[in-house]
Amino acid sequence: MTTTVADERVRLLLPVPPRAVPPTTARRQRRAIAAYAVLWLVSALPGLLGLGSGWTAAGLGLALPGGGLAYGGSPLLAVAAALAVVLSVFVWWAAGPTVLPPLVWVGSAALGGVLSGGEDDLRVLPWVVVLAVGPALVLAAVLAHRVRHARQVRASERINERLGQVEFVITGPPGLDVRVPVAEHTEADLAHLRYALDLALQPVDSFEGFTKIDQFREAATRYQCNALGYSLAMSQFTRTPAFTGYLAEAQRNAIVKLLDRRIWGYWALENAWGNLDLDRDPVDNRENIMLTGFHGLMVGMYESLNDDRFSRPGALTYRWSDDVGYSNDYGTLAASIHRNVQRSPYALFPCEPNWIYTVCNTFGMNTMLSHDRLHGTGYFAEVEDRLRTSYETEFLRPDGRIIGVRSSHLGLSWNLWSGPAIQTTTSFWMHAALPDIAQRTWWLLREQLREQDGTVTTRPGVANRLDPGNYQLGKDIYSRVVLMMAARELGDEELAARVQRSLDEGEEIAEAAGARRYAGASGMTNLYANLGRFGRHSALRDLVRYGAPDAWRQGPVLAEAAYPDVLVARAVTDGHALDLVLRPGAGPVRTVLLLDRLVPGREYDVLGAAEDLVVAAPDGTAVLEVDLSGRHEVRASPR
Amino acid sequence: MGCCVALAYLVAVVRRGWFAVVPGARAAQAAAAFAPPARRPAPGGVAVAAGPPVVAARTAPARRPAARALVVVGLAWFGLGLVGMHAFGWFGWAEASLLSDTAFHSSGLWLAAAGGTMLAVRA
Repeated sequence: MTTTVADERVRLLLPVPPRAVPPTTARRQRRAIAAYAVLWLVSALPGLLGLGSGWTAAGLGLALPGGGLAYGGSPLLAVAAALAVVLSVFVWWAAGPTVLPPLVWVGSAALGGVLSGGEDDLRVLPWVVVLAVGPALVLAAVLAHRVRHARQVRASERINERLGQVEFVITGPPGLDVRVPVAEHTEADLAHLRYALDLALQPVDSFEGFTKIDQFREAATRYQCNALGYSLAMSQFTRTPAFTGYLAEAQRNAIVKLLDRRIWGYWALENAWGNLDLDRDPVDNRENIMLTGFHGLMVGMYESLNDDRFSRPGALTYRWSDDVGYSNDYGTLAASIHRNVQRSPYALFPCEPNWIYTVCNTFGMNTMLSHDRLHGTGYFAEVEDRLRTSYETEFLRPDGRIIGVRSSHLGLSWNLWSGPAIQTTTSFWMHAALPDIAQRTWWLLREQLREQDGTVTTRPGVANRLDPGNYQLGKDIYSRVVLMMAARELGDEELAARVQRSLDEGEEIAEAAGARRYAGASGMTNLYANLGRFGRHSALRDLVRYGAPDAWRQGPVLAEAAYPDVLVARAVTDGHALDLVLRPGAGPVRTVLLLDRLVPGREYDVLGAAEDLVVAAPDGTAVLEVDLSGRHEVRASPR
Repeated sequence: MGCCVALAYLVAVVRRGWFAVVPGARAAQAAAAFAPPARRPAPGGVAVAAGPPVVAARTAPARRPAARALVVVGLAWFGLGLVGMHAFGWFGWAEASLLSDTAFHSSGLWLAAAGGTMLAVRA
């Protein structure tokens, strides 16, 4: 791992939590418990007032899902009602309908009341038992949390002893010559890149080749578009910064695809059934960072490498109909995220109504960071302390694991969402904004990796054996893909290369028309595999926090080339000359290239083309003719 | 570990249910692989299969047949309950408690409200 004088060495211990429940979470949990206490008291009233068995059972159904049915002598229905409420909570988490669990709960209580009519005498023992179960479960949950918390605190003491000896290297501005060696795509890289290019270069309202299951969860088309944009941008950043052409067009298409109502319209439903609000605006609201943060980062990456067209007013208009559209641009996305962080008690704010995800909020941070750099705003600096504090308290277990999701309303989290796949993904996306926490998370995770069948993988677990791009259970390919992404970004190249090799040699490969993908993985996982494949140490951090060097933004570029006739394996400029490595993508061909951003009227020596000398036109362009039959180098340098 | 198994089971059941209920979902997923090969011409050339200009795509409003059906069926069920119970006495529940009476009628209203919400937001 290369370090430079601009790099900084830091130590970061795990914070010692003063209480078992962090402050904002504790307030939300106390509020939820108080609300349940009121509900519990109300549910006990029918029995106390002798209103008859129907009302008594209905009340018990409010105190405990299925309680009224159990009281009325329908144990199977009681179990079914309890499962229905669990399922409704799952759907609530999956798609945000906040109203669903209360409706199912109240409905099951009403059913209990209906089926229990007849007797007027209170059966005291079952009544007391049912009433006691709810508070007992709450008490058990509190005790279990305390026990688990104490165990994690003890673990953190052991971890901190070792962390005290560890220095994390926070990489600084990379400069033009340091840590930005522009690599060259291999033939395999180019084949995987073509998979992404073909997806992105189809008409913008066409989604052929995308996984189509739902628009709510991880398989949603928007996440595939996001991964498509990120992977293409990363390819440009680390391999071909001096090539715009069809690569930039592909990124633009990925960005514009998100403006399609079929892609963002989910928000209208989620806002309706999650917040009881019929406003469809996907940006001017208090949530939906899964759109604003993810979309904003795509634009930030694009603008860092290409142009600022998406920063113009109305450039990102989410069109609902011919008459209705929500006019936005890069600036309004970043401002919306900044505003929502400021007014959220957690600093982090929700994706779906109510559900706050730590990884989604890293995209919000990355959007603010890149916007600050490109447009001189100070969004991230203003909220950095609050975000850091929240990540270190409200969303961190004492043993250093990041809590993946928390209910904003109830303060509860799923322990399942603290697994390695969550840690890996979050450490990758957090590296630009909070690099020390990202590296500590990676350091902790690194110790848990397992050698298995000659490759490296995370420990077994449901969340690690799930491809979120198509909800397929049983394969760890997504876990290995994000492992490769994080290892490469955080400087563990040896590990990243081993994981990549295991994917290339161990997974079934599908090929079509020169494009290549892993046959057993979803589209989203394939696109994230490209992101990992094209990454390098601190690539995401450099691109988001520091952007492209001035020389790259001002020097000559390859502006147009035929696709797939010309595959660009490497394109770089030092601000004056342009160096290209090209490969034919459809057999040997004689073709032309359009260079741009040359100095108008200036003569350029050319190597590798039919011309030895070109003179830049008044608009800074020049055309070269090249013969491609294999790997081919072209150089244009000012005379 | 028990929670993990339960979650896996839940994910698998929901996934299977989704593919069973949503028309074409399985076929769409199976087909999700490669996009049609793209082509872009050399500078000054003619596009063989170029994408359209970068504009926001517009889509026709969806008809939402399921939402309309929910509203119609829900209101019909509600109306049937009112007429049947109060005009003809078809159901014995008309003589039951206010709680059961309300629950019975509300099932139709809930359906109609769910469908109405889907129609209202037109997503």
